[in-house]
Amino acid sequence: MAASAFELVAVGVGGHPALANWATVFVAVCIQAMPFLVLGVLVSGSIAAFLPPDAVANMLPKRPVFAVPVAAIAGVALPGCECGSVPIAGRLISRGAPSAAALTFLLAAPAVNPVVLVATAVAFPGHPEMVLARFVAGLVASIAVGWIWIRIGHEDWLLKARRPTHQHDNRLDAFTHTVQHDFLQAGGYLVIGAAMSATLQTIVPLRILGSVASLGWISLLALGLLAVVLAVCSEADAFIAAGLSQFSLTSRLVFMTVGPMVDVKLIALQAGTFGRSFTLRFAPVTFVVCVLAATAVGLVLL
Amino acid sequence: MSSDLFDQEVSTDVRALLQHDDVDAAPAAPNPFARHTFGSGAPALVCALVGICLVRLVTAGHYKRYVRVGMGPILMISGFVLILAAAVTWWSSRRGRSDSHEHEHELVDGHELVDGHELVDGHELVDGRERDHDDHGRIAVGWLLLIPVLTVFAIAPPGLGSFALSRALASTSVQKGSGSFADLTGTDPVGMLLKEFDERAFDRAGVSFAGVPVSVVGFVAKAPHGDGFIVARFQIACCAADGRANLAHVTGYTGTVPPVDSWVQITGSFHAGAGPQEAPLLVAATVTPIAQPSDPYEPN
Repeated sequence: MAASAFELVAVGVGGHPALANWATVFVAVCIQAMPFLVLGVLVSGSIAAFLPPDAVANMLPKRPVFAVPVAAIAGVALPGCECGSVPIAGRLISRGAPSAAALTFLLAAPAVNPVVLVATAVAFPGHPEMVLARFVAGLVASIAVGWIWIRIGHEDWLLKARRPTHQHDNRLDAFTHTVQHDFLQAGGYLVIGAAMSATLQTIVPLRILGSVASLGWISLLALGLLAVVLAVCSEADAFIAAGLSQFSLTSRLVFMTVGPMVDVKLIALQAGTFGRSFTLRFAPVTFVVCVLAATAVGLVLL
Repeated sequence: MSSDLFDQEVSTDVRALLQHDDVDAAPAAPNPFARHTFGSGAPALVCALVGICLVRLVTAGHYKRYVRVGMGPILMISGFVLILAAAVTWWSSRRGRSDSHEHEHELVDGHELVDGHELVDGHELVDGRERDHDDHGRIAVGWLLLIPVLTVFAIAPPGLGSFALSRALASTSVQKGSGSFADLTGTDPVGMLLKEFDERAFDRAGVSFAGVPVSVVGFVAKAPHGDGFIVARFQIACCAADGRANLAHVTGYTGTVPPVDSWVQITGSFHAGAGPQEAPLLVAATVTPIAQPSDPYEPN
């Protein structure tokens, strides 16, 4: 019975181009995120199982103001994209890392790692300055958000991520339990984000964007919002940006700075990991900071 | 993997979600269904199914419809990691059950959390109940992972086609070129990607074709204006969400136009005269229906 119901749905979807397109984009976003999510939960499982509770806090400078830039630089070492860094940051916070530093790491890791920078260089063969601009804008935005968090952030907003982890008899159990737990949790929210992205891509005709390409700051905002809607992997967004040739380099830098830090997929993932009240504040602040940082860097470097 | 298994598991899920509210309302009364569903068995099952799905997508080659070809190995590895993780937790919970030790741990899962919470935030006992609920919710959301798995197995979405073309943000078509091309020589059709066709059309207004016939592969779409049809193929950088189309406007073909979204191989010659924002013209000599290539996209 269930099988025949699925056949019915399958025929219906296959016969309707919009639904088929939705299904293709939905599955594509889910599948491409899986390896990075798995890498992320393997790291988060290792943090939970093998790192002593205070290890992360001890590795960082004592004062949060200095811990934030160190965390941003540490993001260079994680060659993944944004899906993987959410469970890692969540686990760092649950292991007692300073929240500002963990959040900066969350933002910086997918934006400034070597894989993403190489992809940017490949996508913009005639513009090596784009790689530098992306690196600087990513660092500046992630550090700025970390410092803003120190000023106005509330630990109460992170209660969900601060909850204590289970105690396990041995480390292997702790590791596999955390891997599985974090995978299911982040993966479930990833599915929600992928569905949102596929829906927006199917119902919004993105061609209309072309008409605002020459409209100054509106084009900056338009590409920032496009990054939120598309929710593509930070390793791929440079190729899309390269294709948006009717837009200025600065607005395309905004696209590449916002994308790894705020998009519908990430908003869903963060809401699942850190809680809704956190994400409602964090995502808009991050968006504004990204647009400002990328615009400033673009004015200087591009 | 029979559909009965899915059916059973999904309905268990629904039941568990229904029971879930009961747990929330009266956390003191342990709920056998909630225990059963959120114990180690169900999460392991979901992990394993996602892992099997990934491995199957790679072995069948269908992953190329959704992500770039180069991701095959890491998708395969991720699939096996998930299957392995599921096997280890399942095995350790079985072992624990026979020891009746690990099992007990699973049973009191929720209470442990409340206790742990009290230790950390002693001032908010009431919230502890919500957070207990929350933790079950965190795992329960993992059931959603079965939606893409079911979509892959039951619907097998086809890859980007003409609908995506109508929504596409930008096509690489004639607005963009990279470098310049040496002139073609000879009289036999030269096989090339639509991307190269577009770039040659842009480069020196198509001089490099030098009248030599070409052969391209793509799917059929409606022409926005005029006669003929569009032949198009997407290129992707990472996954189908970032597809950009390369296209040519096929004219001069007198036979029956193949249906929209069917795949064709076209031989013909470049023809100057397309407008600045329009797809370059390809005057077709032959249009041959073909099966969808196993990799429906052009490399980036």
